[in-house]
Amino acid sequence: MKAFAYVNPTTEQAAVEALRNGGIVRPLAGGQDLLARMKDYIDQPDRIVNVKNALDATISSTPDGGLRIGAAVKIIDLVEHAQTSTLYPAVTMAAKDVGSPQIRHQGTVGGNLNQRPRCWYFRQEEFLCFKKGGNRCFAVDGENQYHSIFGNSGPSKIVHPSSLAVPFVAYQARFRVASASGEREIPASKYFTLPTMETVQQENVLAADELLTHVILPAPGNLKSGHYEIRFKESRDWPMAFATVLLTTTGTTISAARVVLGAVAPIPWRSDAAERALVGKSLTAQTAIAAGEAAVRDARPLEKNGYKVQITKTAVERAILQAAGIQTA
Amino acid sequence: MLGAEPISVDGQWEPGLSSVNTSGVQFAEVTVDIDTGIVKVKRILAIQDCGLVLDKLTTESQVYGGVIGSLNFALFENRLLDQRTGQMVNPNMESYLLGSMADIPEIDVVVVDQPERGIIGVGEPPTVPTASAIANAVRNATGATIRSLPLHPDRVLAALQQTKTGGATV
Repeated sequence: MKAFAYVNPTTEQAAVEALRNGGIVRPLAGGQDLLARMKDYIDQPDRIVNVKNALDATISSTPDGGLRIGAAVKIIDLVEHAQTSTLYPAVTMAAKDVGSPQIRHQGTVGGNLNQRPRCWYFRQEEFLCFKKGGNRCFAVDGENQYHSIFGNSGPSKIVHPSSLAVPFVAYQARFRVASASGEREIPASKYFTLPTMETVQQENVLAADELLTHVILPAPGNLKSGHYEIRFKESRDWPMAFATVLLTTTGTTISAARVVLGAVAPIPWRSDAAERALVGKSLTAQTAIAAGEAAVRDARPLEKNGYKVQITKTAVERAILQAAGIQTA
Repeated sequence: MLGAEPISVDGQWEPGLSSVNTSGVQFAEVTVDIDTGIVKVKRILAIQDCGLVLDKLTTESQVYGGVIGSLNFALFENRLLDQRTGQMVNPNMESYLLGSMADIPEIDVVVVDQPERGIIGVGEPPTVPTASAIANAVRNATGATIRSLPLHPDRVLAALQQTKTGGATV
């Protein structure tokens, strides 16, 4: 392993200062991704900035009735935070299924959002792919059974690995980002980026000298929410597809809907088609089936991931049924 | 989820049926989610003969281990090679799937003690029937015949689809 410098700042200001200059610099929080990348020789930083003592690790209420979640909050603390599950049940549902108990006790909210893709070609140093500065995506005509079925016309066929990103996009969160030259807030829906040849080496708009410091959730209003993940194993397994569904109802009619899909595209994938299939309809099992079908109508599977279309359809359908309080399988 | 067809078979051990003089039979109970292709094993019953049982605890433990190994063979384990380079794409505990504790069902082991046949040993034979018992249970539950392992959701969904359209096996 390449030798690296280790910096241990205790304030946000000192942390962002430490991110400037010094070659390849990486922030370290729970280390659930960075340390694994280093051990796999796909990331070799010159300097590591420990941000655990510098970033906010608390969840606080905002004046408008929302929540402000520090990036250093551990996944387990998010799972067990009562107000989060009252206001944003889909966030709690996503958090409780992240990884394994060990990962939830060590990994952080910021780390979950900024983790690099889990594509097995990206994760092996031998495959010099676009994301590692190479000249191809090996998944295009390779082992692509877990790759994207939406948003995959660009150079990279990854799916975004974050479970929390999907409900955060659905609840219209904003991400606060800080650097030595100031701070900015970015809507979650604009934070994650579809790959182009120019941007393929990263999955979001975060600059190298910026730190994600907070997730700010607006007051949710009166929503019915569902979150359904489909994974093969009971734990320690990545979902094949999942969906967050947020519904506003007037009487039994759906007046507004947000449907965001995970593990199907290089970004959390908002399904306009599913939302259109829901708005104006009554909240029934039949509507859920129709919305599931609408969600996957424009799916473009690769050679070996056609089954994900059926799985995604089912995830949408079951998330809607869950939001409706209808018993699912 | 489509219900199960009862199976009733009578049979007995015959000389020459088992080449190493040990024999066994296993039963699997599964659920199949026909919308996702996910198979969950609910229970395995393993009946194992090995002649004289020297240590009941160790013998049973060997059968438990064999059943768990074969359950992983049936559902999860899959060495995936990149077809152009021959490089294994999943050489780690993250993407080479193995059941965790929560994926292992109730396992009942019945060891048949036959001292008059002497010491035969148990070894690997308990790993042999589990995968076929699980695949047969999937067929019994859904009508889908799957002749290759593992029973990953993509393979199960394809088999269910072919069963619906009256096609061949997967």
